[in-house]
Amino acid sequence: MIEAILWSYIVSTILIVIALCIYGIVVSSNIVKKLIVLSILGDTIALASVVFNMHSGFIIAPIFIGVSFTHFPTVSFGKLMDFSLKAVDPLAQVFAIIFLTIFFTIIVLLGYTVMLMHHRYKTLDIVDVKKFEEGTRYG
Amino acid sequence: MNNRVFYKHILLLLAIIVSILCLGYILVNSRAIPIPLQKTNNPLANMFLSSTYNWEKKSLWSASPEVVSSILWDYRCLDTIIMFSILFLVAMLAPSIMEDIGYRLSIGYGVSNTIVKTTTKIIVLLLLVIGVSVIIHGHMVLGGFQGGGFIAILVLLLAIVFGRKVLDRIGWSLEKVLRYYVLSMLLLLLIAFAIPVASLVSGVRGYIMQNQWKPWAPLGFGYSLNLYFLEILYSGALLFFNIFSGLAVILCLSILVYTLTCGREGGYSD
Repeated sequence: MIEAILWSYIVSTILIVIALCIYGIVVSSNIVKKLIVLSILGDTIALASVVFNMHSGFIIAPIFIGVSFTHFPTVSFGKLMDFSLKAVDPLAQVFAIIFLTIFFTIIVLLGYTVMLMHHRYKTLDIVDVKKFEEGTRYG
Repeated sequence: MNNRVFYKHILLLLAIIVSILCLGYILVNSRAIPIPLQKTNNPLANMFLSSTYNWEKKSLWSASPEVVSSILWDYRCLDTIIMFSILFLVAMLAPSIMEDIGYRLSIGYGVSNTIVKTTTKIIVLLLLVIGVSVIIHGHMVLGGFQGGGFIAILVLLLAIVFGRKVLDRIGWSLEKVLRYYVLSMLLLLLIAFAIPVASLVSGVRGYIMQNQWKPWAPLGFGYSLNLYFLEILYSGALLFFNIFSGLAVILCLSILVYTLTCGREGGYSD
């Protein structure tokens, strides 16, 4: 029962952070603030992918212990099955690595776009940029 | 902020929270988010966990005890290569964008605080050792991406604390970093296409990014190297992939640091 309550608390916290991030992206007029909130959203999604793939009792890292560069003993299938019954889901970690890398590239590109925008309009406020564009369009 | 705008914002926030909670409820009910926690692992995860270091069934193994690295550089290698090509595109775009606007951040000058400088000297050494160790042990713990991240932070620290001059002194320039980055990506592709080329030459079946020998495709990188006095586990292509990907990450992030702090033609001069 306590486990279910704690788990529900963690899941609802993650969902509320996602909701707040979406709110921040929609409402904030400063483009740097939007970028910061977007990066928080990305990190929360990566965290969610790892947390939602947790399983009860699977607590050890997905690395087979006792193997090094020079010491790599033959392992029986039984030992390997024991390992697979305790190790966490590696797919979530793979997803998190790939997601964070691609998200990093998106953030970098958006960062450069922000710099280009600041260079052109001398402001980071999206409302001012809109006014500037409308001003140039209609004279 | 007037009352109307305030209530509009409150309404918007409530709408987003309610819709996210509804989505959560649907996901929990459809068992996409398990509450309470599931007692068994995903079958696909079980397959990877029980086959990456399986000495008794080598047809599916990757000869590495590190399951995440095995998935990234063996089972799902194509995804990882595509991920690196996206990084490559961004790193190639960055200098041209910054060249267009001639914009530099003022972090290329360095700082004058002695405490910061001395601390950085110690941290730089530690980061270098940890980074190289993580890259070389990529097929056993963590991987090339994480190790590359460590060393890239080192470059950023050097640029911020000692200024651009120190990067010049160790012989780095944007052109040189770009050149080495392209080289590291070519080396990654060379490892990826080594088996198909060997397959064409020998006439035996082999696949792109194949790591270990398979009964239906008897070509592979092997997994251990016997040096007479000791035997080393290198897990086939995983070691090379980790080294070259680590190098690629270091150089990619260095390009981003360079474009922000130094510029192309000399950048700042004190």
